[in-house]
Amino acid sequence: MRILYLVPPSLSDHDAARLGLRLSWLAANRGASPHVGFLSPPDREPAWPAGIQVHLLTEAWELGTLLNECPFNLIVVLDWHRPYLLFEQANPPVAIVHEMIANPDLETVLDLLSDPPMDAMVIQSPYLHSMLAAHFNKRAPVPVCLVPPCVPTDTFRPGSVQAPAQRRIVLWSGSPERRGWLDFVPLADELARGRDDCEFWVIGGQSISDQAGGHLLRQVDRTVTLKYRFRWIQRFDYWRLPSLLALVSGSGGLVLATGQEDSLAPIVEALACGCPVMAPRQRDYEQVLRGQLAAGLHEPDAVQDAGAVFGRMLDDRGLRLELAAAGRHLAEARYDLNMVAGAYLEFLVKCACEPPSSC
Amino acid sequence: MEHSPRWATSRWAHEEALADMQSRLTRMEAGLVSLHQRVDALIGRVDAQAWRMTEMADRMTEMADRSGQLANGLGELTRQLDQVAQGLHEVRSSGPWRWFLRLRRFRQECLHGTWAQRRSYLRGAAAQSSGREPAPPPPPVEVTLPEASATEVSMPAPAPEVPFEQRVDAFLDHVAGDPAIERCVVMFSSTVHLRPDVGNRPNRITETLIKQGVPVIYSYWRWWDAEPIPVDGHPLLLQSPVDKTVAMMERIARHPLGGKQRVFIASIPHLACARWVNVFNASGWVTLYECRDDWDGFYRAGAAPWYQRCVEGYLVNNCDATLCTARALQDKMRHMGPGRTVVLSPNALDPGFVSAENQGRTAPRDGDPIIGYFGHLSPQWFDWGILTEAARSEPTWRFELIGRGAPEGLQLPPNVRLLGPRTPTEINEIARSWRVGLIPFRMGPLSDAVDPIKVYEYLALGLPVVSLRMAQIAGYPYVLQASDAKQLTGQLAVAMRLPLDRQVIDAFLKNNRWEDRVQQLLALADASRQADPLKGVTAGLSA
Repeated sequence: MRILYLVPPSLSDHDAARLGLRLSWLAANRGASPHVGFLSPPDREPAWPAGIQVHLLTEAWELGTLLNECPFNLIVVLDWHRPYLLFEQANPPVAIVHEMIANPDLETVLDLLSDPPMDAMVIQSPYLHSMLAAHFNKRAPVPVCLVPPCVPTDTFRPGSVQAPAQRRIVLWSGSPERRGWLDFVPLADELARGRDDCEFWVIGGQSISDQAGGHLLRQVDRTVTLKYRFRWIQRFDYWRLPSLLALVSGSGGLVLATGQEDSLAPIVEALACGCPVMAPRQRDYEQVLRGQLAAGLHEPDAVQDAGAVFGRMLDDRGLRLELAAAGRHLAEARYDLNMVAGAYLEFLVKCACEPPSSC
Repeated sequence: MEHSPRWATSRWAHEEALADMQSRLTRMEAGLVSLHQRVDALIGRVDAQAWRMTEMADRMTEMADRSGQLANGLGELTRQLDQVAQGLHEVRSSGPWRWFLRLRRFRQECLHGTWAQRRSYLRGAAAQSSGREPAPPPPPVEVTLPEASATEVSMPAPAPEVPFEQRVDAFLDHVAGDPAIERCVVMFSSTVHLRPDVGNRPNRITETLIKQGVPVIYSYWRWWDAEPIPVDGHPLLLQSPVDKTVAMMERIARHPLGGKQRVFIASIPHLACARWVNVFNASGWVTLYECRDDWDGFYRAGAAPWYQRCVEGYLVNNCDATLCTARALQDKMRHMGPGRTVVLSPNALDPGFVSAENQGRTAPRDGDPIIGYFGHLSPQWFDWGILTEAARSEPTWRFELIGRGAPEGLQLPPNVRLLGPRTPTEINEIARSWRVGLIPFRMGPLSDAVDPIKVYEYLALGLPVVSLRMAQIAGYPYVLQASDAKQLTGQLAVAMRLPLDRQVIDAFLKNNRWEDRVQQLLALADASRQADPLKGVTAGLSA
């Protein structure tokens, strides 16, 4: 099966690596032939795995030529809109699937579905999926498939990296296009006031402007104690994440501040590495962090409650071990690459052959 | 119960109104954040433009000065060329030269020439001795020259310009592959590219590192992308304009350099350094912040509108260590980063500054009362008011001022002379007649945080120093300080007669050379290498 992925030029390194993993799995295990197309030069050039062909299609006729010369079974548009303008000219005779790599607002998705330019949609948020099901009463204009983020659990697994200086590390990881990382600052400041032994790290943000970067640093500088223990690592190699998460899992955890986060992938990756996760009890987090993992949930916008959960998570070694084991188990059972990518391909095959008719 | 529906409606209406207000509040909050960001962005843009204008004005002044210097140099060269031409003419018309020409012709034509050439030479000589005209030379014989090889006759084609990215890669690969190299330094500076006439701290540190066999990527400031990048003759130096450095930062940070020690020095609190410092840390680099000025003070004085205090605070708290050129800066950095490694690393002397004639000398203790100064003459720094007042009160003293940047329209007393910019060689010559070196910098928090390089250079020239109040140098040998014009003249009078012991000066300078600062910097890098938990990620990966 030949699939063309049209990806935005601003695709982050981590998202590109996650996509590359899935596509190389499709190529290696199911004989698919994935192609990646950029409609303008990418901001960064990630190293795509073997078996993936990459095309730069800056003109409309180049897309048309590629579609003629290399007939695809399916086109997947990765979370942007420009390709649809070109499709009006190129008019590809194949099914088009719109895949969300970020977690948009319900309104955004409803707006997109009001006059859908695609034949099917893939989303990763269980919360959004249930909201859409309720809204359309299971009769969405196009099929919407829930494909959760996945992780190669053989690479992302608990490790034992010891920091030279024993500090507890509280991590936020994600794409800073939304508010999540800015909301992390006041929460981290509150947590930092009661904990002298912690450092607070933010991973991501290479693509943001200097103005936005300066805004983050100014916010941090206005805090009482956080400014002395705050680190921003704007670019972190995806393949070093297991090592970083192993370091964090040794003493701290991944902390998400609001329901405004961009993606569930950082949570899944942290769980696979046995890294405890703390998040507000809202949107997707309630659905992902269930059972024992719910011990990491706190009431949204309740800093004192967050502080109490945070304190338990850091100081109760038994709880940490339980969370690590439960997280790993969940990652293997529900978010493993082999399982998720297999189901994902099945949906794509259906779309390519005969678009499914219901959500 | 009759009121129940109305109450319910009312509650419902209130709830709806409340929800509406909450929604409006949320939107307003979002709008406020967006507005904040836009205002921040605008401030940043205005700051950047203002900084750019200031720097451009400085640069224009500098270029004008340099143009004047070049014009002077051209005039001097033309004069020297005329002299050489005159000398050549005299040599060519001299008797010995004519005899030399005859001898050379005799050697070429009579001793080593063909028989035809010998006959011609002898006929000519005979005719010359008998006073007759020599016979006309034989017709030229056609000689077939051997075919010249391409390498002999063709000029070497100009080497194709290597893209800068490739030069960086080649430099990094060279560092990685050379077993004699133990470490590599990236110096992120805000000054111009390395030039002999610019001797500030990052330049001096870079030059000294290279002398010690440490390769350096020296990031310098340029205003226009079209400004040519200097091609460095030295294999251990790569000069990179700031725009290129920022674009290449990731590639540099991620290069393993063969496992050698890698040191990143932020010599300016630039946002790019803040953005990348932890990428360097996560890649196993040692990161140092070099605090060499009170940027906050400059910002308040309107001279550094680009400065952001949050960036400097962030650097202090995220670099492995901070080096400060003055105690006041050290105190400030310690306050910004409590518990962080903050060390004092004052400026120093380049021993090459002092000419051979001035080695080991001390300034004259009698004779003409000449007081000298070299450096920047910008009114932002230089206190013209106090200097003029002091000069007027002592009309028999002479003040000689070397440097650029003096404001136009100065009304100076006749005993103050502006000598313009001079080379170090010229300064060495001029300073031989000076009895005191002067540092009349405006007093205030800015000058309290300064350790002027010229104080080391004055002392190396054997001059006692009189400065306006400047906390950092108060304890240096033969440095006297004043707070107003009256005190200044008093201290100058004392300094001109102050007995000088060269051994005291040498003992002080012995530990205050750039070599000492580089040694300190590298020792700090060695000590900092593994103290950071972020570096554990790298360590874990390599394990």
